[in-house]
Amino acid sequence: MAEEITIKVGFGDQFRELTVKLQDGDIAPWQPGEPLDVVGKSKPRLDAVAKVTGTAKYAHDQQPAGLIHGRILRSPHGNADIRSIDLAKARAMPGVRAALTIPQVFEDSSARYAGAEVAAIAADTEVQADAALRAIVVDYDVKEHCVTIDASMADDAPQVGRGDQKNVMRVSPRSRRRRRGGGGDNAEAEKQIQEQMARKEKEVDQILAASDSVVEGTFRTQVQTHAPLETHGAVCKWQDGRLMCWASTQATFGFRGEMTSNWGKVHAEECRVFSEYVGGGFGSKFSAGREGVIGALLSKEADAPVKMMLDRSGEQTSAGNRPDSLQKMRMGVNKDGSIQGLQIRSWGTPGTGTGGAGAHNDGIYNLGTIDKVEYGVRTNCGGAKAHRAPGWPQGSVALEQMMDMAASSIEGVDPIEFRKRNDDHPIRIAEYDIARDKIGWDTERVNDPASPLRTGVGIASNLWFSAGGGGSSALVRIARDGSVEVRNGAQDIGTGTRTVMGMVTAEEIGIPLEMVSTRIGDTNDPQGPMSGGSTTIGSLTPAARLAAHHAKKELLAVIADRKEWDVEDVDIRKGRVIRGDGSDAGLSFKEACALMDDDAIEVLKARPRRNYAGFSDTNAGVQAAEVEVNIETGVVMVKRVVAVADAGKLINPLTAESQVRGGVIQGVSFALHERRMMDRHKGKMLNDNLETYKILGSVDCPEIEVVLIDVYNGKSNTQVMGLGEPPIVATAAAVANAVANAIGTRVFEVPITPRRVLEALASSNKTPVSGHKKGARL
Amino acid sequence: MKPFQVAIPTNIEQASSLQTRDDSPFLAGGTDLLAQIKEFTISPDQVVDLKRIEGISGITATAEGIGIGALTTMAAVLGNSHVAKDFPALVETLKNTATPQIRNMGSVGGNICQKPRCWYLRHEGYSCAKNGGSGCWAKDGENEFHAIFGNKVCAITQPSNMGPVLVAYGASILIESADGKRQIPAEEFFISPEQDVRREISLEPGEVVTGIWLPASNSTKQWSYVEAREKQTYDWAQASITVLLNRGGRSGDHRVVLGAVAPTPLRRSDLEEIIGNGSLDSERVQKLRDTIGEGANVLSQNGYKVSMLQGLISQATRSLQQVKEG
Repeated sequence: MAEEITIKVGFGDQFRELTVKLQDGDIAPWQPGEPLDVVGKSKPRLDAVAKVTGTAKYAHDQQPAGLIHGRILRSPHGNADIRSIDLAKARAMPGVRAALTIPQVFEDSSARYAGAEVAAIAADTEVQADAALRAIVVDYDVKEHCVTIDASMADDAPQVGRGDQKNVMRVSPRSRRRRRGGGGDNAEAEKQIQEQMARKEKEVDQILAASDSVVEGTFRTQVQTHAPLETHGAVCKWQDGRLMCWASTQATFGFRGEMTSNWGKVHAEECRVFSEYVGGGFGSKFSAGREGVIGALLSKEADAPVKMMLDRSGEQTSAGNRPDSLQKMRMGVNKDGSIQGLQIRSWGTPGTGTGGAGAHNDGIYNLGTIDKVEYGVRTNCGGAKAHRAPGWPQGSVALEQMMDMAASSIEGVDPIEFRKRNDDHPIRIAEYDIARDKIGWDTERVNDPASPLRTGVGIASNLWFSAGGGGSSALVRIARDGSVEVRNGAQDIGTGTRTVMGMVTAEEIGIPLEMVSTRIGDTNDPQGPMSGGSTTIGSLTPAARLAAHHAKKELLAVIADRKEWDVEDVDIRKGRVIRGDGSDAGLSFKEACALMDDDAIEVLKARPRRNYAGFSDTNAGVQAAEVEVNIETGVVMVKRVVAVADAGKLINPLTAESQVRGGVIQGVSFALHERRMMDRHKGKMLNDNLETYKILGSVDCPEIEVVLIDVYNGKSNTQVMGLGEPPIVATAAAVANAVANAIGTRVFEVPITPRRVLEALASSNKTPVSGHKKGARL
Repeated sequence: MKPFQVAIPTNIEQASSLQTRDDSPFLAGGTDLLAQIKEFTISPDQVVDLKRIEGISGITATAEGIGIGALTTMAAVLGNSHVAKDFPALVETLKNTATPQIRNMGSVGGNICQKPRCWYLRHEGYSCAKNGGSGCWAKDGENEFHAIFGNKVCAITQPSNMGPVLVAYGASILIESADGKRQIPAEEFFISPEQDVRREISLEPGEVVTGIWLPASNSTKQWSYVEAREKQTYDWAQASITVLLNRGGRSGDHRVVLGAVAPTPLRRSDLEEIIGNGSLDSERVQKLRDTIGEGANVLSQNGYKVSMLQGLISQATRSLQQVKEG
């Protein structure tokens, strides 16, 4: 029978009581005021030294004996079909051990973008593989291409896809049938949607017409590649019919599934995936990808281990990206600061991918009645993949600038007060004031008229939903020699998962973190989640804590039995056995373990499946940026970012802070620098490297002040929320608003480059920044 | 990368005779050449490593000037007190060049001989006037970072940050081959696409840059080097201006040289004339701003470079005023 308990949930001075029914043998979450020895303390990540000194072995570093090298031939054409591929000459080249073609393996003869996979070679050396690639003879049927959404949306645009695929497809609203995963809309369903869209448009038109003020803007964001330092791929090795993969992945179990499943291309009877360290993924490494399949197949054919990691060009063109966006918006507000309605038409490209290209530009605030129509635009470019808070940073760039424009259209309304007026998230309401204070929002910024530097501040908000979920287990092992191990087969993509799992285990057992060894990244260990949606920590830690709880319980029973104490009268704290009154029992943890008859206590526990009601289903977060713009050269420097963040209960403030810093850095990079440059002539990505694909560097990095709010969220026994994605949502938007504040005109397109700043300044005396026009149409 | 042989000569004569064809490039720091080879932009059979050749590295300061060996790293020049004292604009431009790691590896000789950064030229599969084909992909393509002056035949920008500064100081480039030595002004070392679209520097096959000579007679305390670039860590200038006033104490001997806006360092004698007697009053500054864009042929995406140059000339004149007042 489920135990019913009352817990306290909340933060700061806002707590309330909540009655929850514990499920699946769960234990109560830590309560406010409960003394904790490990959880909530800043701990350097367990693998810090290994990573810094280079002893950490990534997929790239694996060198099983007899390793040979895989390379992928990519199409040089913006859009083509493959008529034929002749591998004969390549196979005869020195050192070549295996070869395959994409049409043969994936039953796909289209090469719809420059960089699309065509064939692959494995050879003894990388240089031999490169040479052999150049000997492959491919006959292409080259077609016209579109590499920008504008080109693809033009009336006479050539077809990007194949068959009856249209270049522009409506993504939302969709019929119920399609939302449920059914086929395309039939004529009747489409007619209904059209009518519904027309009604909504008319309704919001009327709302805007009745509003005191209407602002409108057209915003663009660019395609951002994931650009992880470690490229995609794996080292694959077959042994007695079993496949082993050292993969750079965000989903060890997903990777294994692709290798063994019926729908996959490899059909391994058994597969074990290792991923102890991952050099970044940002959402692009959920699938084994074509490179993973290619590696496994080449290895099988060659009967040798194959290293199939992408080169940088392949990574940039073909391993995923954040879709671009074109967002047209109109917002109606009343003089009392309330938002009445919002009209949105937005477009974005998933390239040749099937992934979504939506922009989340209708969330976070109470926006009144919303009329939103969104389109995906196919282009002859590498496919989009989930990219750290998919859809959110680009949506925020538009929405948050609209918020500032709307605030300034009403006399005397401050952008922060305007947001608070239209926000009811209890945590965020508190966070606004912290950000306001820390960035010095109310400090007057005086620019020296003799200097070209202009400073400004901007603000924007975060939102996320990441308490984790079921489907993960953890194994905790306490051995007679006093060693403690916690195991889970999922990966740590750099977020600090490994450390946090160890901390939860140490806290629950009552020992220092140093006494726990954490094993991750091996599919022979218990099932774990993919690192997506910032759910890893929320999914794993409750399982680890529960397993640790029960393992400890067994150990306490052994101690009580041997010492003839009442089991209720014995506990472990800070590595010592203590009695009920808190006194030391004269026994260390290690000595206590030696009392066991068995070699070890092993407990495997699954995470309770459902989350409790808790305090809040969402993380909040507010960021404020201070920028300095040189109005003579257009160069923007982000001087400071204040990032106020919350993630439920903070297990390790140090790694949490690191997540926020990472989000801010990638967000500033998105705001100012990163963009995929496609050549209109040949349809190729021109900056398929890390030299001209500009990523923020050390000198460009702002001073980042992170303020973390500890929230007793009550959603699970560890009440953790993830923090990988939320901190990137607001950054670029805050920077864009700060730039507008600094120079008195708005740059409607990110990245905010010197060219765009200078162009905006040049045209600012010709057109108003934001109008008070009423009734204008998009 | 295509495999290649490395020839390691120990003197200039050997090095020179090893480079009989264009496809035996010289290797110094390797920061540019090896990247090109790895990306298949060039695939030479042989690379001639200059690093074992003695006497072409190091900095020598005399009353007549400063000699810098071609293999001297950019970092060494940046940290040299003689250079800092007499040719401060060179130090300033090097501070803005690449990264500390590249400055530690990259040589000054390699820096002035590097291939342009045009992303069409550096991408496999784009044949243009520079590399055996015809035309220029950038002119109606992606040209935000390309030239606004002298771009009729080819729209590359001269990539060396030092280039314009060397021109301003009237530096000479020391060149040797098996046939002997020659010395040419930096201004003639960099050649325009009109002169020869296939190359950017006036080196004949077999010729090695052995050093740079900076004459003390062109030193001046009235100098300014300013540049603008999108990213402050590891990025190329989008525009730069070197201004030297009253070189060698000679009244009216000025140099104004623009960088990153043309296929060569672009000396602007019209701007030098506007400066005239060297008093930079607001009227003259305005005239400089109004004139600096003259002759520009802006492409679809690089018109902003004119505004950028106007901003930079204002910054340069302000910093010159400060020097004067300080």
